[in-house]
Amino acid sequence: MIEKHTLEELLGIAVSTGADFAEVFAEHEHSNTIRLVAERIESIRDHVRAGVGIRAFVGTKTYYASTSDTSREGLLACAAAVAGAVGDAKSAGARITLMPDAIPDRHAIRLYPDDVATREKVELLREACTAARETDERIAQVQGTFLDVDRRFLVANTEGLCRTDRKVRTRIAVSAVASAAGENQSGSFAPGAGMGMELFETVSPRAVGKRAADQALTNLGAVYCPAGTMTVAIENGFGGVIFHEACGHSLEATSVGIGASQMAGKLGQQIANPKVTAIDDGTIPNGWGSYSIDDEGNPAQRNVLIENGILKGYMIDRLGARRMGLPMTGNSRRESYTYEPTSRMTNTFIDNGPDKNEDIIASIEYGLYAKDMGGGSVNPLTGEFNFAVKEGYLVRNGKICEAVRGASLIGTGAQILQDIDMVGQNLATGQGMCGSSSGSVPTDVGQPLIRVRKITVGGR
Amino acid sequence: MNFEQIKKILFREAKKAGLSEFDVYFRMSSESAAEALNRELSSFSSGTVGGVSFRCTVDGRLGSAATQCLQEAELCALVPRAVANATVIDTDEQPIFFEGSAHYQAPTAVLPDIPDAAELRRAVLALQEELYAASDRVTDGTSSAAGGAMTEVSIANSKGLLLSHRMGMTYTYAEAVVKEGEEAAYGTSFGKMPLSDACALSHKAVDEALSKLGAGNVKTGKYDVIFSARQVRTLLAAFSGVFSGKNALLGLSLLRGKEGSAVAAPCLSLVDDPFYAENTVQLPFDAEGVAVFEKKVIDKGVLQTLLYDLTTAKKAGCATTGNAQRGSYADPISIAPYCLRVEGGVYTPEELRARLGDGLYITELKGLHAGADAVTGDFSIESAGFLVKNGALAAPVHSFTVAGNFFELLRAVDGVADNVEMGMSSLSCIAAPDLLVRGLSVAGE
Repeated sequence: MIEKHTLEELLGIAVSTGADFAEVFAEHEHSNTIRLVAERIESIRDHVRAGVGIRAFVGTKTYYASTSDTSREGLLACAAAVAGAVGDAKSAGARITLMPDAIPDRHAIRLYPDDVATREKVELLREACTAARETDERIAQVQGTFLDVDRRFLVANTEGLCRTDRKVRTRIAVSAVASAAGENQSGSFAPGAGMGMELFETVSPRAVGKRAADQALTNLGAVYCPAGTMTVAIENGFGGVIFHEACGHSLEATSVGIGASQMAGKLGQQIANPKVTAIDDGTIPNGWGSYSIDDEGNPAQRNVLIENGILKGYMIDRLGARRMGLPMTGNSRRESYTYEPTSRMTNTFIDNGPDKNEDIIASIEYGLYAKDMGGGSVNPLTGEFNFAVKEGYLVRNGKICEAVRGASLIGTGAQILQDIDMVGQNLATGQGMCGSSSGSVPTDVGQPLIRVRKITVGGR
Repeated sequence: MNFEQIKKILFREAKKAGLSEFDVYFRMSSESAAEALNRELSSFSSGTVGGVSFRCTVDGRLGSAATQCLQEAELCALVPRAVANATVIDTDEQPIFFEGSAHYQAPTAVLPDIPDAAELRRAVLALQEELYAASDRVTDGTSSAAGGAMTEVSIANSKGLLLSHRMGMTYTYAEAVVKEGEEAAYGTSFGKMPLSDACALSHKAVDEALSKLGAGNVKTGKYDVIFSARQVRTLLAAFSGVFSGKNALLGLSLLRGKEGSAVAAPCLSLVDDPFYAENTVQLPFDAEGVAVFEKKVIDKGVLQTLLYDLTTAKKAGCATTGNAQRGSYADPISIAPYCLRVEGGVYTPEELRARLGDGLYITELKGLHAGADAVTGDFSIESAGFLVKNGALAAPVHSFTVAGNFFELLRAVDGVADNVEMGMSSLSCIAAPDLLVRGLSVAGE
């Protein structure tokens, strides 16, 4: 990507005006996004993103510059911009010696998307969308997306670190609209992994399309969800977004490190029901949120965040480590070289618990069974979170009853962690894109079926 | 490499490949920003980032490819990539390359000066000082930011179109965190550079944060509601896709076929105004090179037009509204408004609250990316605000949801205030006043 001696030169410039640390991040990413609408391939977004970001620290102050101009002149100007922002006083100039090494890659790719003809990807997308369309005559519209990303990057810093990584991810998404009597309802499903085209050895495009269509049809027959507080059972897979929003973001150094998190200063405290153990694990082979090294060059880790309800750790990047006086945890991420990295989740999930799934539903006299969830958001300062229910059913006397639509769940992280009072045993994950100050990154969320004793359900 | 050099290479390669219809779209942005936290400068950043997209027609099919690598070899590779991509496209939409409009309106906004590093640092530190001085309850986590960006957009095509324009924007931002005992709350305010009144901007953020302390709950039930101007903008941003003519043709907007019909209360008018004076991000042409212009979308409750690009307009049998946009230079063309503006009404905000009587004043809506469905119009959204009693703001309330349907909401508007305020989101803006809406479902305690 960039010659070693050039990297050393750039780092030398970046610290030449008083910075105590500098880092160069160079990236080259090729992505394809194929869109199918109304049974036709409408567009292909075929894009090469390439550039460099250079960062310097003075204590906990950061200085960052990025450029898509990777010529020698462009790189030198980028390093000079960082040095100029740090200060005017030129130091004698540090001699940087990089020591390149390799971190073992746990995420082998068998079939790189760039080695596969676009037509093959198109056929997989067609198969998924056709399956959705053929599910029922009330399926009025189907849209599909096939995404593959091949991202290579290099990190070098003034501590001598110099590492590269290549991360591939592939995803197929279908959204279906069911229509009847002037009313539209939607359903969607979007599985993906840190894999190449071998993803489709385990993911059936037909099943993806069928699931999206079935969800739209279920919602078409659903009544509005009643509003109020009730007991809610949240299914596995993407249901794990509840932990991601309600607690995960509040455990990132991004907010903890500046004291703007409800979880700051609570290490070792019982913050959740003892049935709750939560883990962030960037090492899961070929996970959607996995990698070999993070965007600061540190190896991915398996970090236990909460064990039997007790807060065990945070997710910490280099800046967070300086602010908090704690070690880095391999969680530093960014969407691209145009963003400064910060602490982010990888594959984050509530682990299996002691309760049988059938007992969880049977325990609910009146409540909501949230079978599939949409996205959500949180304010880590107050812990107030929200997320949408994509497919839900009322539960009466321990039995799942009629489908309901238009529900959302809200609460505060601290309270909901105590109110998760049953944890089942069918742990599974779902794939999402998580937005934060360092952009949008792929994250897995997960959990088994859980029960929340009491939560506010937004409905009508 | 500048646009002229890029264009020369791509036009040469296109002709070499035997292409007769093609275009080149270029966007390059330079930006800088400073942030301060807990009374100190915390970060400074700058960037010069952009790229180019090449589109061409092969046997009536549109292919494209894009890159940030502006070196000759990479640019040359764009043409065969776009040609290869065209071979799998099978949409029935005929791509149109436009020769240019007869006239392009000049932007009304003056190109702002992009602040230098020293000016940005001074601004964020001045805001910090004023934020902490505003109240002794202001605490750690209080931040401020300031920045500016200049973007150059150029487009050239095989029909002789050649357009180029620069646009700029600046901003300041203050976020106050206040604490009382264990309770924390935050407030925000936005402005532009140069920073003219750090004190006023800071007080606005601190006052908002303080006003939220001690927030209580609301009872579940039906409420009449006023959405603050900022939250009307939030709602409109989430549902702006319903005005796309393409979404309507695809059956993804319930406004399909409703042009000429009443879709909203008679007191509601909505305009797409690319030259709204307060919006500095103005382009005279859309992503297809068509001149942009102001248009009424809803006039006194009646839907006047949906928004179109050339291709969709041809399919719908109407004229383009000049609303072809690209989220980035690499994105396919989509249809979006420039600046949706809800026309101001006859009431002052106080008179609107008097008209409400008892109900809720909603000042925060969160999570609309998930809690609002533009296809169905349904929304169920985490909210916060104030109880209103006898037309006066009473206690702050939080942790409740407001649920309804956007299309029903348009009809249920029962009053429009005169306090039109603008907000930026990426390269588009929305301007709106407070709106009174009757009969929404609220879930609380």
